[in-house]
Amino acid sequence: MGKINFDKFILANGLRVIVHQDDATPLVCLNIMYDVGSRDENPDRTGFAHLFEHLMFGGSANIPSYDAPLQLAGGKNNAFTSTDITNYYITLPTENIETAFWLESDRMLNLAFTEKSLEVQRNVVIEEFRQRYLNQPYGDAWLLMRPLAYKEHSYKWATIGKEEKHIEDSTMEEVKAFFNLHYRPKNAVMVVAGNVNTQQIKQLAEKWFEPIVKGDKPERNIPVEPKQTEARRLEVERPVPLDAIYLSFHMCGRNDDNYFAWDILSDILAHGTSSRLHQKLVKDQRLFTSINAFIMGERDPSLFTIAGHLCQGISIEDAEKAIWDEIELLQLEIVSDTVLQKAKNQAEANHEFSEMNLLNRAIGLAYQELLGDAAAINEEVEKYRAVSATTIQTLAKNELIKNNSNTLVYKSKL
Amino acid sequence: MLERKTPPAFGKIESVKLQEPVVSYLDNGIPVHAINAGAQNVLKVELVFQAGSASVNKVLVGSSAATLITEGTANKTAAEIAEAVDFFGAYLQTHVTKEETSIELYTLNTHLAHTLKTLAEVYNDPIYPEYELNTFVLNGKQEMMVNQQKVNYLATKALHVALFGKDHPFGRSASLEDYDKLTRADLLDYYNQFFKGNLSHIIVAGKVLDNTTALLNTHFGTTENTVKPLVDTKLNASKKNVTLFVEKEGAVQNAISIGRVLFDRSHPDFIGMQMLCTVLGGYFGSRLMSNIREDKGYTYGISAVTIGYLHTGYLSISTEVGADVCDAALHEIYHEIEKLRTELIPEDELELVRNYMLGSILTSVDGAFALATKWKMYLKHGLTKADHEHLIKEIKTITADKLLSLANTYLQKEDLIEVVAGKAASQ
Repeated sequence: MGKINFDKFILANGLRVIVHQDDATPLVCLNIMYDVGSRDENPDRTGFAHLFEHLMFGGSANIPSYDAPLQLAGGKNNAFTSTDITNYYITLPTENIETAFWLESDRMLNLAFTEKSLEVQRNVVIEEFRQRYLNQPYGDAWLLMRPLAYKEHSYKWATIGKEEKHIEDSTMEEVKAFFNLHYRPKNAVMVVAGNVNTQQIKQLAEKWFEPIVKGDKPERNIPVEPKQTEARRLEVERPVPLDAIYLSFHMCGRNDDNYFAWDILSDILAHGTSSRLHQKLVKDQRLFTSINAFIMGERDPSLFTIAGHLCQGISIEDAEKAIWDEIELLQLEIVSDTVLQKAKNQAEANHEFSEMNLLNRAIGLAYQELLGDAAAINEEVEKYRAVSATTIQTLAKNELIKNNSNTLVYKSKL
Repeated sequence: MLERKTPPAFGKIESVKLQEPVVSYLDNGIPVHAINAGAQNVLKVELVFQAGSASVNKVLVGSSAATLITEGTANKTAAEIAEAVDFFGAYLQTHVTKEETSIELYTLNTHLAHTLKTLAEVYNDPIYPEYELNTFVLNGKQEMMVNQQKVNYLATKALHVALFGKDHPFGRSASLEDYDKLTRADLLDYYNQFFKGNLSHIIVAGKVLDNTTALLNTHFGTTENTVKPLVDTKLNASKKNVTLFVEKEGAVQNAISIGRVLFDRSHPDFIGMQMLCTVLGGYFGSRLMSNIREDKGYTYGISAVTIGYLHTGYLSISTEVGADVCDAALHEIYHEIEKLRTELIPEDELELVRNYMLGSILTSVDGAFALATKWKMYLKHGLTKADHEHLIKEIKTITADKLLSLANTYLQKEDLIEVVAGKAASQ
């Protein structure tokens, strides 16, 4: 398995910079990941980190239009927000790398903060809320599951926000305060990947970013989620044609030793059509039209979820029982060498496939650096290989239990 | 003091290098197009057939025959095939369009011997078990019921019917009843007519090793193979100036789909219309995005695309907008189209679109799998490297006058068909 090579340096203002050389591509990728996500929001002003991501495209202090100069230079860009991070990336022809430095440094320096931009992006985000979460069948499932599963921790609301009103009510003062607090060099990691060399990137970083001096990394004071002690359940009715079940359990965070075992566990249950849930519950018993098991890779203790759409005519009780039967099987029987080897082969292959893409490598390096050390990206496969069958059984016995379960029943009212 | 107002010097993309596949032939004449690129020890193996969902009249047969080809052979059950693929961390997928089908294997080279064997088994020997067909029908119907709740699905379907006619291969789409009508015999017939011994070409991409072609020959080169060309579909005239409305109760957003029939890729105006659609709605700074999203905030996204089939094509503008601003959004869409008919695109905007499109082409050739996707399309349409060079030249030299003329020829309002799916205006 090839390693991702990279150099790392830190500017005087605290910005961490990683350079990954790849001479096989005509493109260069500049990726900036800010250590701010929806978990850092005020509970009365949710959806803010994501709204802010939109505002970053509304023009900066010296550059009224962000997109046009980039498109002129043959580049593309996009961004995304999660519960943990906000990530911005540009890909463009290698020779135009300085355009990317110019654009990204200016909007780290200061935004234009126009009323028009706030007004428009409020509406755009509300339309996004509608398109992806309210106007889609099952679209609001996570808007319901998160507050069910979390009582204290700020993972209890989704990145899009709890409700449209929080976005509608946002003010320019709040926007500026958010920017000043979180969009600081010490709170970001920049990765430059492509046919570049470290010396060149160092010069560009020192020229464009080092003058930005803005204060320390903001402190984070997120309440720890207390251990769940009894089962939680929510049933809702929605205009969907099929019932659905979402079953989430509390698990560890991304940096915990058990993370890889959890991922392997989700693969054993649901990765590929040979997986247990698919073969037994979709193919053999025809209880579900589709079913999945997944983790989210969040930094703080996160959720392990099994979710599926029930076949018509199948009762919720029968469907739930079938899932719990599979969980019980994991608790009673240690998985065989073949099953474990398959999951490890899958993890290894996925890692290799994802490394084909330059942007994926850049984002991976940035995220690992925010987690603590970019070099960990090259240790992932070994960590998957080291997972033991005993650990999986122990996790199932201790965590896949009723008292750690959060069940959302999504009933059809069509 | 660093001067931040002036953009740094930048270069324009003058050319885009296109790596060509290395072509070899199996013993039975099947061409293998090999794209050797990338550092990862992975391989994509794609079996391509000149047949698709439009190849037979009975709806769903073509796509189902592809999807279910992995669901059982004489020697292996669906579960055993799935295990044989999953165990090695590989992926086996089928991809069907109106005119083309492919069976795709993604694998690490370390396991190629095993996974290629499984690909060969499903290609050579599928039996379409009744049980698997039944499961597929049950789940397919239910998935369709979910899709019927989505406004963009409803609008897109209605637009295709309006453009081509509901019985035309490009206009028709499946209904729930079509699932119940599927039989095992349908699938076997389709397989025997369009897949078996009808392999058009194989595309491999990734780390192509010295023995890759020999391996392919063992599995695919020993049986008789005669490629039948795709049957040309004759087009019905599209209806003009049709407005359709599909109601979806409780919708908070309406989906808008506006389009018209155009032509295929060989038409001299194809590239010009591609560019015009890019200006109109093909990138984030486009006319439609700048107006309807970034100025009015009516939507999360709006786009305009040109689609090229083998012998025809169409353009389509689509978006989902707040139900309460639907009429306003429609007004703005037609306003932007009218501007393209009446005002020359300013040179700086045209320059931006040129560079953006060239940058997109650069992305489209970056990496083994991107190249495989590109060459799959090129091979389907009989395009060569010369066409790639021609496209770049056209992008660099087309004039604003030409684009204005194209807008007047092809973007007259009475020639456009409009479909809206969502909340009725009176509610």
